[in-house]
Amino acid sequence: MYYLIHPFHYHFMLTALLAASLVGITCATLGVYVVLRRMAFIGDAIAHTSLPGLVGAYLLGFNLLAGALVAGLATALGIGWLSRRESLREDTAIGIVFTGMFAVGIVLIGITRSFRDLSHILFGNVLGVSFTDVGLIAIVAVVTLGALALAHKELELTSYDPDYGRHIGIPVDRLRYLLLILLALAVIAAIQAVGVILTSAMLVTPAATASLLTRRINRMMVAGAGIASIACLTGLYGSFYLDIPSGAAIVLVATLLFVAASVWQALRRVAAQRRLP
Amino acid sequence: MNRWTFPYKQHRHAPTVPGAPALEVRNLCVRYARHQPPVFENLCLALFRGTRVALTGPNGAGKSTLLKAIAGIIDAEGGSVELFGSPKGSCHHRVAYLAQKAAIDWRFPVTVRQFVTAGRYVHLGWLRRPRESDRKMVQSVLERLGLTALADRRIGELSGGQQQRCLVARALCQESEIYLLDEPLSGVDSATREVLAALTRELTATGRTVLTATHHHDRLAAEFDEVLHLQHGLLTPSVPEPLTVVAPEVPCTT
Repeated sequence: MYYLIHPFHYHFMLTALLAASLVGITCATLGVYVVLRRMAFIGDAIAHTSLPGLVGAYLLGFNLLAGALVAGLATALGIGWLSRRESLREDTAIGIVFTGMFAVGIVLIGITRSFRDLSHILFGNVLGVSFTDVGLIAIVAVVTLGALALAHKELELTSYDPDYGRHIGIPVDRLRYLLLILLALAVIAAIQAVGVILTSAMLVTPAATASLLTRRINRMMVAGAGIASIACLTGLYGSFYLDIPSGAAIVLVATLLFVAASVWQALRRVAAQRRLP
Repeated sequence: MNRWTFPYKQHRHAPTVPGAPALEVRNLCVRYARHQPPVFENLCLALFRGTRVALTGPNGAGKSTLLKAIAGIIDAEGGSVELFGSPKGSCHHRVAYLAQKAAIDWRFPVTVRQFVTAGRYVHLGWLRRPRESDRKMVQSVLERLGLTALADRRIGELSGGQQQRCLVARALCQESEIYLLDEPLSGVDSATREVLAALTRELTATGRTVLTATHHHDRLAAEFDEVLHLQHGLLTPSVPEPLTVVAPEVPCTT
C-alpha cells in the first residue's frame, strides 16, 4: 500500500496524474470517433504539424501551447479544406500538409541549434506540467466532452450516413470541421503529456481497445476513458519506480492493455467456436 | 409541449396551395463539377398526390442524382423544387429520402433501433433526445416491417434485405408526405419485395406520393401508376409495360 501512495506525496506527481488523466479521458472519448471514422492519420498529422508552431513560439518567446494550437488548427482546417467535396482524397491531403509542416518544424529546430530544450516537446514530460497547463488542459477537456455530448446524435448519424444527415438539414461539413477542431485541441493537450511523437497513441489505442470490448458507441467512450485512466496511473507508477520517461510509460501500458484485449477477444472467439458442434 | 426547439434548418408548415402538385421540379440543372457538362438541364417534373411513380433509365442516366437533388443532398445549379406549391426550403421535412445501401457505413456500431430512430431527428433538431412518443412510433414501424426481433442487433449483422427494410423503416419514421426511394429493390429477397410493394400501395392509398428509381423492369405495371424514363438528360413518360428484353442487372452506384 505504501508503494501505491508514496509517489503522490510529491506535488508534481499529483499534478501529473491530474493532467494525464484529463488528457487520457478527453482523447479516448474523442478517439472513439477517430477510430470509427478512420481519422487516425489526421490525429497523427495534427500532432506532428504542431511542431513548427511549438518551435516558432519558442523562437519568438511566446507561449508554446498557443503556438502549437495555432499550427494544429491551421492543419485541421487546411486538411478539411483541401479534401472538401472529395476534390482531393483526404489521406493525400493529410500526407501533403503533414510532411510540409513537419519539414518547416525541422528547419526551425535547425535554426535554434538547440535540440535539448525541445526534446520535452517531442517526447513529452507530464511530470513538468505547470498548474496553468493543467488549467488549460481542463478547459480543453470540458469543451471537448461538452461538444461531444451536445452533438452526439448528429455526430453519430453523420459518421455512418452523411447523405441522410445532409438530407434532413444537418450541416455535415461544419460538424466535420468541429470534430477536426476538437481533435486539434485534444492533440495539443496530449502533447503536454506524451509529446508530439506519441500523441496519436492517446487518441487511437484506448478507443481501439474499447472497440474490441464493446460494440456500443456510448459504452465504447466510457470504456475508452477508463482504459486511458488506468494507463495514465499505471504509467506514472512505472515512470516513478523504474525511472523511465513518463509519456512512453503511459503509451506502453495502453499498448499492453490493447494486446491483452486482443488476446481476450481471440480466446473468446475460439471458445465460441468450440461450443458449436 | 411548448419547449424550445432548434431545428437543423428553419421550417414551417406552409399550407398546401390548392391544385398544386405534391412535387414540382422546374428547369432543374445539376452538374458534378464546374467544368463538367450537366447531368441534366431544364429538367421538369410534376407528381400528383397519391401516385406511385417509377423512374427508370440506364445506369449513369442520373436517376440517383435527380433524387439527391430533390432531397437536398447535392446542390442544384439552377431551377426550383416546390412541394405542395411552396418552395422546398421551408418545408423540406415533408420529403423522405431512402438512400442506396452503398452510401452507408454498415460497419458502424449502431443498432437497428438507433438507426431507425434517426428518422425522427428531423423533427427533434439539435439537443433534443427522442421522447416516449418517438420511441413508440419507432416501435410500431419496426413491427410493421418485421424488424422487432432484430431491433437490438447491429446494422452490420443484417442481410441485404433486412438492411433495406431498415432504410425503409427510417424513412417511414420521418412521417413525410413524399417518399423518394433510390433502388429499394437492389439485393432484396422476394419476401422483402412483397413487403415494399404493399407498403408503397398503402402509402399512396393514404395520400402519400412515392417516386422510386428502379432498374427492375419486370413488374412496373403492377407496382406503379406512372413510369418516367430518364436518358440523355431527358425525362419522358412511358407506358408502364413490362419490357420484353431485360438488360442484365449491373449494380448501380451512381
